[in-house]
Amino acid sequence: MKQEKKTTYDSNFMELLFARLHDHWVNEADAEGLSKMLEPINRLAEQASNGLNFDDEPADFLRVMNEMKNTGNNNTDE
Amino acid sequence: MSDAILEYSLTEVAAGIRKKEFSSEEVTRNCLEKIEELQPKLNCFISVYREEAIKAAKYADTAVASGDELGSLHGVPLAHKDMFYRSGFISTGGSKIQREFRPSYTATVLHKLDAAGAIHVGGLNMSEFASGPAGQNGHFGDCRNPWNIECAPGGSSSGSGAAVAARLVYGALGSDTGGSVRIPSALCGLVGIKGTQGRVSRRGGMPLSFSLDCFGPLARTALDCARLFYTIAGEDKKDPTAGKEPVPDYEAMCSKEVKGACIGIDPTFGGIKPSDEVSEMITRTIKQYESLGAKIIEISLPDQDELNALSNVITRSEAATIHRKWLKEKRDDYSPQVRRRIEIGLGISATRYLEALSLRSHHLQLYNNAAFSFCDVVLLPTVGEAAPTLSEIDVGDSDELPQMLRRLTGYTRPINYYGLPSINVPGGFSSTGLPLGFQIIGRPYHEGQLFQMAAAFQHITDYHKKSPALSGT
Repeated sequence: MKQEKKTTYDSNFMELLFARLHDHWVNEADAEGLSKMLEPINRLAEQASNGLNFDDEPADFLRVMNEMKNTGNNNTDE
Repeated sequence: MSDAILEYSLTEVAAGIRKKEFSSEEVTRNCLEKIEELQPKLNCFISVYREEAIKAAKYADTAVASGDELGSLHGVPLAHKDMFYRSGFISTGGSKIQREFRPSYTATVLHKLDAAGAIHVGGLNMSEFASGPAGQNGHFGDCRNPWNIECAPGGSSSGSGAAVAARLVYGALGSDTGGSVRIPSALCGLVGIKGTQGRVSRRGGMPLSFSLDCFGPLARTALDCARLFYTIAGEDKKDPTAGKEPVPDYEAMCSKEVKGACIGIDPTFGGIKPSDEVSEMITRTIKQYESLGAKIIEISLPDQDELNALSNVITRSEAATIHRKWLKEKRDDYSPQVRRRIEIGLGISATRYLEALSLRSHHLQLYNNAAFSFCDVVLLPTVGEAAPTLSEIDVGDSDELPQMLRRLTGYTRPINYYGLPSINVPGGFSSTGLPLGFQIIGRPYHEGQLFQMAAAFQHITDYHKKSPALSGT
């Protein structure tokens, strides 16, 4: 029988995760609200993660920023 | 001295003080009187340093009389979002938790403004812990938009937007993690810039997100904003995250033509549709730039929703790390909406967070390929609508919160993720008389180009010269 995929961050999971990882207790209403906010963010971030390459790392950001400084049309002067 | 002096721009009032047309004390007292008059309506100040400001202004006048060398902001009254530390002065961060917090050192940006001679007249209202683009504050009361006090000024630098627009001070600092300088600038009719990530020192400013926080000024004109940004930008030996790039003369850029500059426009605005009025404002703006000799080309920007999600992953994770101890110990001292926005970061996994950080370079490269391979700057709405009413944004921590956040930060938050500089420019008014703004986005460290584009637009428009009727000037 095909099982319906559960959302990652349902409220039960939120309560459990907060309690076990952070020793942090939230009530049911908060867990529900947090779940609704986090679920779409997580879904889109999961989709975006397909673009991640094996050797990507956070420090690459500074390299690209520096490379970009002097690229492009540059029709106006600094 | 009449209220007319309050209509002077920052650079005009600085020149007047220098030429002894009026004294800093006169200017400062004028501002303090206006603050006293309008504070009950606008609630844009959390604290006013009346005595200290008058004392500093008198000292500034003595320096003028003595022929001392004067800084570029000598004697000019400013106020800042109540999150920049000044040794011995309370810095609330708009929160109940930090209501009595007195830092033991002064923020680098304030040191730089002090060195330029500015007068600090008070701490401005803001969203609690700089978390919230609408600008509400449940602890100090909501700040109101001077163009219509039933409307929100935008946040999180709400007081900065309202105070400068209402002519209470000549400029203000704010912080921008997802749009918090540009959004209140747009909704209050001001010029506000978020520089390249690392362009301005963050030492001594309350953090929300280590990776995305940027501090920047809000002012009435591009020239005013350029002077403030030049003053605060650059290396800080006490902040290793501050860039070492030289800081060019931004004011000089404000007098350069934009003929030949190439502006990229995405007709779909990255997949987020603005209101008809904002869309029409963008169309008018394009024509105005064309009349200045700029070239317009169509580009196709990446999907903004995915970028907003990645940006949110970083902000929420870092904010939750900063706040984790208080979330446990002082949970009830947060307003519910702010608590929830920060608390969700506890549920984000470390790998998800690091993925979002690692993907930044990839997305920045894609943006470069999509935009800056073809054009010098990109033009987008700042906010897709005029200022909402306070009741419209009063959604608490309900299910409507994510939609409200998307409406206000959909165009600004991705720019923080890219780390690119972006400036808001007043672009006109809605049918109800509320300001509308557009943002110009540039390559890393090309803030000068943004001031150039903004100033050129202000040379042929007068939106920035109009003041809200409330100010009574």
